[in-house]
Amino acid sequence: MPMPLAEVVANALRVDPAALNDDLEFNSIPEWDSVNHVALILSLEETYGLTISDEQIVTLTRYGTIREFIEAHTSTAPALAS
Amino acid sequence: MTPETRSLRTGVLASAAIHPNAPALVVRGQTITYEALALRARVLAAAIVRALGRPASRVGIFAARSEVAYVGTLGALCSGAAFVPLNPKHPIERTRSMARRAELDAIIVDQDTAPQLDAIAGEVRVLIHGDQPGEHVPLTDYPAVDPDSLAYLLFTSGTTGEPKGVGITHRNALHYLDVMGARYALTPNDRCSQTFDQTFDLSVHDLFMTWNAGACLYAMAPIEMLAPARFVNAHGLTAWFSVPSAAVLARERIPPGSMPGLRWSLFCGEPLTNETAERWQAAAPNSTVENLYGPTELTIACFAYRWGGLAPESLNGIVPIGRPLTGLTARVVDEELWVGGPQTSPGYWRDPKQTQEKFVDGYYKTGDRVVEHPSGVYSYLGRVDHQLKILGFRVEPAEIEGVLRQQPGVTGAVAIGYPVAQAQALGVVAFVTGTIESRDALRRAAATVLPAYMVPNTIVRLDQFPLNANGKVDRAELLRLAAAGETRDPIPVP
Repeated sequence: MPMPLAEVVANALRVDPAALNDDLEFNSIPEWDSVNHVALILSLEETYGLTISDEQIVTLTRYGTIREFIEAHTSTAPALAS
Repeated sequence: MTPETRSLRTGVLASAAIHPNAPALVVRGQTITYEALALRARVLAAAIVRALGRPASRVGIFAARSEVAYVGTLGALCSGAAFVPLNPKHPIERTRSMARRAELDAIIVDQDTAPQLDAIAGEVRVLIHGDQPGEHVPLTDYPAVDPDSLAYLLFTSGTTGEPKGVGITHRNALHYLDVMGARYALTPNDRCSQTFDQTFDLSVHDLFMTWNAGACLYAMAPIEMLAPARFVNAHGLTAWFSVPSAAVLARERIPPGSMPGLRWSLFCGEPLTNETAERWQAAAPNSTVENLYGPTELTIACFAYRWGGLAPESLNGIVPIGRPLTGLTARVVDEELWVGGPQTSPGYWRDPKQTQEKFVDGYYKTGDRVVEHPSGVYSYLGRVDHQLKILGFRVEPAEIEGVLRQQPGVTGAVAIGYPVAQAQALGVVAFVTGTIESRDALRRAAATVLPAYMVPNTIVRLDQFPLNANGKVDRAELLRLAAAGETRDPIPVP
């Protein structure tokens, strides 16, 4: 069972998990800067076994968007060939 | 009619006259032609000059990576003024202090910063909304500009606890642009990156090297810099210029051959490692990689080195800084690099004392330790003081320490660069003595006056600072403590 998303994000950004909400976004707090965004993307890739594309790295900039992205990619439903 | 004296605006206006329909700027998905750039700048200049009833001396540009940020810069120059970039990402208190100290005649805002206008309105006479400047006949008779007057005024981190202003004249800037214009020979077919905040003087290279050549400037959002190949390829960029940190952060996303269209890859602002140069060169195999060097006081860059694989002069894994640009002279005094010549700033804004200390006999004392090799190539060794570069931003630890010491209970503070990757500091860790209630409260207090890159990521309380044999704070030991205690939080967070 992978680590809960809130914990992954909080660790990468070095913030309290309680500080996370769907509207939190890149550059809205000092902690979510370019350095920590790169750390966050790497953590997401490692934790959930994903490959995050260049296109995704520039769009996964809101906690809510990241949450939806991870939910969609870690769904327990049988994966359909795409 | 005598031709007007050449100044920083001259090349841009000439490009606008030669190819009015060519794209000058792409920002936030909008393309702006040279004709539109010049026209909008002339309208802003008219608004400024008419409101003042005279040419302007200094105009603040309170906008970032928006049409107004670029148009406003040229508009300020057309009004006869020096432009003074103000960063919307910085705490408003810092911006207000800069606006006051710069003695601005006018300030140009965009729709992002207009809501913050009330906080700084008291500091300036004329406020102009760059998106809606009102009905003005575009200025045609530009106020004359003395080549030795300021073209721009930038604030950089100061050792006395507050930012210091560095003024650069038209003559300073034109020397750089002439030398580098010949070196890179950009053409109207070039497409150039714009990665630097305008409060960083390397942005002056971006805007004016590009526009003097009639090429097109592509403003990048900070997030886009994390995937450079995506942006470079989507827009067909031919010239890249950034801090090395951008390449370090994007290292996993620039595989070999991923940016074949680049013909120039320039880096400046902090040490460039051999590894980063090699990786970028592989990613952009058709480009020439250059390492530029220079503090704000010497106008953008004053040394350059062309990467051609591992240099014999490379020390500590760092690419050499090369040789002084044409027309500049360099001396090494007790290992410290002094640079003189036509790019040397006239000094610090309204600060004769610091000017006298740092500008000596026509040279600027850089505070950088270097060695000159028998080949004439110079290598950077480090600082003579504690100045840091955080992601390329120049940071005086004393400024951070001063802010922390003003907080209740804090008796002493020392800031160091940490973590360090590829010879570059990625953040700040601060050590404090005294009694503090909450690490987060201290950080929040620092964030109200310091830009984000200067706010310590971690604050560690110590009973006393470790001292070295000379009785000074042992920063090397603090670095070791930071490395050892990364996961430890000695101060309970309420």
